[in-house]
Amino acid sequence: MAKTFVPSAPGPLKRLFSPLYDAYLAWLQKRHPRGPRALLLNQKRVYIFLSRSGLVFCIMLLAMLGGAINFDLALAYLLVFMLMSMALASMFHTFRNLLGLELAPGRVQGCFAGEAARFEIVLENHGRLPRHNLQLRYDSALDAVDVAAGDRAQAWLSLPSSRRGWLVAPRLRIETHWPLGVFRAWSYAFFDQRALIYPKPEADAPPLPTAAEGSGEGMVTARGQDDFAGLRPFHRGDSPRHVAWKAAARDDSLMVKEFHGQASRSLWLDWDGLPPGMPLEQRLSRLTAWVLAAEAEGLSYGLSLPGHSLKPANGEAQRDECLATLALYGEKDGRAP
Amino acid sequence: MNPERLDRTQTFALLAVLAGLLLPHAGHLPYWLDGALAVLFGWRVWLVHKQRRMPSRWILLPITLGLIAAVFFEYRTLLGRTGGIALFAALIGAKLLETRARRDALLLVYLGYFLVVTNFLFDQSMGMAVYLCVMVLAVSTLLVGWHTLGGWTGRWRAAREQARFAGLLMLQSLPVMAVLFVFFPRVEGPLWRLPQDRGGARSGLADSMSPGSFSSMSKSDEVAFRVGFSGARPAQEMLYWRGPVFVDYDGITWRQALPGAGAAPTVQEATGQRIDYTITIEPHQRPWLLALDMPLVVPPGSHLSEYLQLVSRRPLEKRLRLEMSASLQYRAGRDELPHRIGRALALPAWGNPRARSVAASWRQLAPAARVDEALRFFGRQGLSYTLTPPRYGQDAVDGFVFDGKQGFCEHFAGSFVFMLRAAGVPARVVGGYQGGELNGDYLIVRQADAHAWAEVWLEGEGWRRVDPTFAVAPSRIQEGLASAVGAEELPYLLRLDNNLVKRIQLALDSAVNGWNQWVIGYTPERQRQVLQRLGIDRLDSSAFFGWFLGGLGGLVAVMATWLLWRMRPPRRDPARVEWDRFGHKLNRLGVAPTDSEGPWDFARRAQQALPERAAAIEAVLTAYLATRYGGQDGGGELREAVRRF
Repeated sequence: MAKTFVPSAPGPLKRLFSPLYDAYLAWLQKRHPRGPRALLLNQKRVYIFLSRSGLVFCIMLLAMLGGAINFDLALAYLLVFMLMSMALASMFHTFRNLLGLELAPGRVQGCFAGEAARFEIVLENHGRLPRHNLQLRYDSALDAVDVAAGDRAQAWLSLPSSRRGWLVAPRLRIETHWPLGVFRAWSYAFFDQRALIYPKPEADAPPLPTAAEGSGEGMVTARGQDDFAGLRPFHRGDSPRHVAWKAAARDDSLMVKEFHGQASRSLWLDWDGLPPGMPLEQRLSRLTAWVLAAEAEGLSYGLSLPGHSLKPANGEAQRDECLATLALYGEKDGRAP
Repeated sequence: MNPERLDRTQTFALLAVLAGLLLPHAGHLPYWLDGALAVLFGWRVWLVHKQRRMPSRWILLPITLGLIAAVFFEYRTLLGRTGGIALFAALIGAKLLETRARRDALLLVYLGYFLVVTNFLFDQSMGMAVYLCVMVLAVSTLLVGWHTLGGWTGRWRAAREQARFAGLLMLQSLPVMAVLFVFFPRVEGPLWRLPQDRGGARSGLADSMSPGSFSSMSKSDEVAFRVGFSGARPAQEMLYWRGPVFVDYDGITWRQALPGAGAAPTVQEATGQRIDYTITIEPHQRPWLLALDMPLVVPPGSHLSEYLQLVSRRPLEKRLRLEMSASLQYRAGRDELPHRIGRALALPAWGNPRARSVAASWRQLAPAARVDEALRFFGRQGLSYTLTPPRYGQDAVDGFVFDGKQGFCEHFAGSFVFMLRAAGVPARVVGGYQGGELNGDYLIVRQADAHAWAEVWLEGEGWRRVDPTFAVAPSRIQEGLASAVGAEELPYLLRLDNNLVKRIQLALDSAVNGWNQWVIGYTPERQRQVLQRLGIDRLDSSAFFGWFLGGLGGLVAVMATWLLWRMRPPRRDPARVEWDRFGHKLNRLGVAPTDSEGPWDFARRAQQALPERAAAIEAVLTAYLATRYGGQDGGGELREAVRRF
């Protein structure tokens, strides 16, 4: 299953205090248990402290207080005290901006390696006041949302991917500086959110292999779509491009157009057919490009990898399954759940 | 659009607020700096409007350094009240042309609060307070908008919403602010003193008395000080507010004999009733105080001079509130030192021959009789009291007493003292104020009430107050200036007729007085009194910490409770709660509820999966539908059905 959270690139300070930092992480994990479920930010889970600009604000107040004392300015005293109490009041507002908010992991959009995967976080406001400018962060990914009272909102965080396989969402951090920026309230959530990153399709991949080995079903041309063969009932996984929408409009059943040759002849995208000595990632990359090309051309295609093969089929389900197989090839946690 | 960049609306809002905060300074800053700031602001507006790039560092740096140098040459310092603020304003102007990122602008917003305080250095009046309160709201609105998603990008509704919230925040801050204001320990005196902090406009009595110095004040309705009596108010003609004492005369000008570090003559006998009062003196930039003649207490930070004058250690640069006592009947300086008596007899060797010869004729009388004779002489001369006396030349006393015969209190007092000295009676001129106008429970004394009278020294009695003006125009003393001179001579507000404008003005002054007493005048002394009323004797007592921290803690607790109450989750529909419990029970039996199913479908599916409990499921469904949608109250039936299931 999902890997445990690993902090990204600890700085020198963190390394120095590494045992302390580990203890801190363990404590955080305990407070914000990793899980697939929604998390309510209660008093125990919301932290609050002066922000950096709050520090500047405090220094400014001290300077103003010095002036008030020195020049004996009653109104300056009054203003300093007002700003102090406003900051105090804002502390409550900042805290309540997170307090009682419910966070839940939402949908995940995978991608090809090198692109950005997208993670959805659903925020639900059970309170009676709107929540302003909630900033959510997965490492460098950032999104900010408002949530009206009693409403819900979605934040989308884009994480760049570098390699195929599972991209596990890091610790989610939610923070707010609203309303005055003097205080910063924040909390964490560890969600079981992960995106499947497909291998990067090879750029300018060679054309699809023309010979399918071992199946004995002969050649496949890419022109099959021209030869319309008839209609058959829709199965899950069929490409929507092949649905006979006009026929579907006539009656309730979804029919799929079948093309001549498609049912009988299929293309095998075979690992062993690639040049020997080709590096692993490059092979996966090429196969990925071919899967995409085959799907785009509406062919029926199968995938054969060492120790694993997928029967020829067509449609998004087939494509996704092929891509997932390629993405997880050789990975420890193997197939998609 | 880059969210880290200031957009057009944000820039305009920031510029408007900063300009509003600098505006009251325009009068104190040199004209060239006002102009330079206007140019810098205009430049920034133009850049935003035309969407031009900001000037490079190589243009800004010389501008900034030039401004700093110019401020230095103007004031010869970069510190102090005036120089420091000029520098601050110049730097803000330069910073404007460098600010493109929101983070920099945030600094400018914070500096906005700082600018508010700099304004208080010059003006702590109620009007300024109201204006700056609005400006604080504006700055806070900027700050809230800053931290709101989308900010104040051109949407009026959003800006209004943010202003409303900033106002709310200000209101919520008031209780804690009040506690801090009352309890925060006040410190006496400045922590440090910057050069050039002195200065500013002077009004009121001068160090010296020359012809015209009092009559010029008589047209000013400016307030000199306000007085609240804790007991009975003395009669109007007894209200002599003692100020500078003029001893030395050079033939034209009477000068104060400051500083008098010699031993002060004690007030030997204070025979009259003790009068307790509170006086709040407007700053007059001079090192003396004003007190009802004769003061019985010496306020801290001042001393009673050898001329029975209350002298403060420093010029009065800010409004001062004093708790005072006085006795209206007293004997002072019976054993006056010879050199002081000699000084009170000194006259220049020349001038005013007619006055001298008349005075010489009184010499055979006893000293007390000479004083009476002088008063009678002044009465006989047909002198008249006027605000617009003619100018008397070289021999001013002769000119007034024998020729012009028109004068103001300074002519009366000066000539009177001159003639008594010529007759061998030690005498001096006392400056100050006489009378005042009652407004509610306090007295307003204005510059127009400035007055000068004489003091003579008599063997065996000491110093005695003699007011020659009273001898000639008693109504001036008994009823005030307006009754002594023609109404047309006075500005509108000083006239006697009780018109609406005057009443409004007095009502306003009453508010100002309250403001001065309780807000501006909340000095260490005042704080001590207030705390004493709460049973706090010392600032390091447990009673103080009890009140202070208890008050703050209580307020914070109230805020926290209110907050949690506001954020409590809405009460869930009880029917829904029961239905969810039912769903849990079914889940345990293997029928998991799904989001896409309504209650009806879910119950049907459950009945199919668990045919033996179909009836119980039906009962729950019926009760749920009846409670939730059928308008049936209570839901007891539903609870029962779920419990039985």
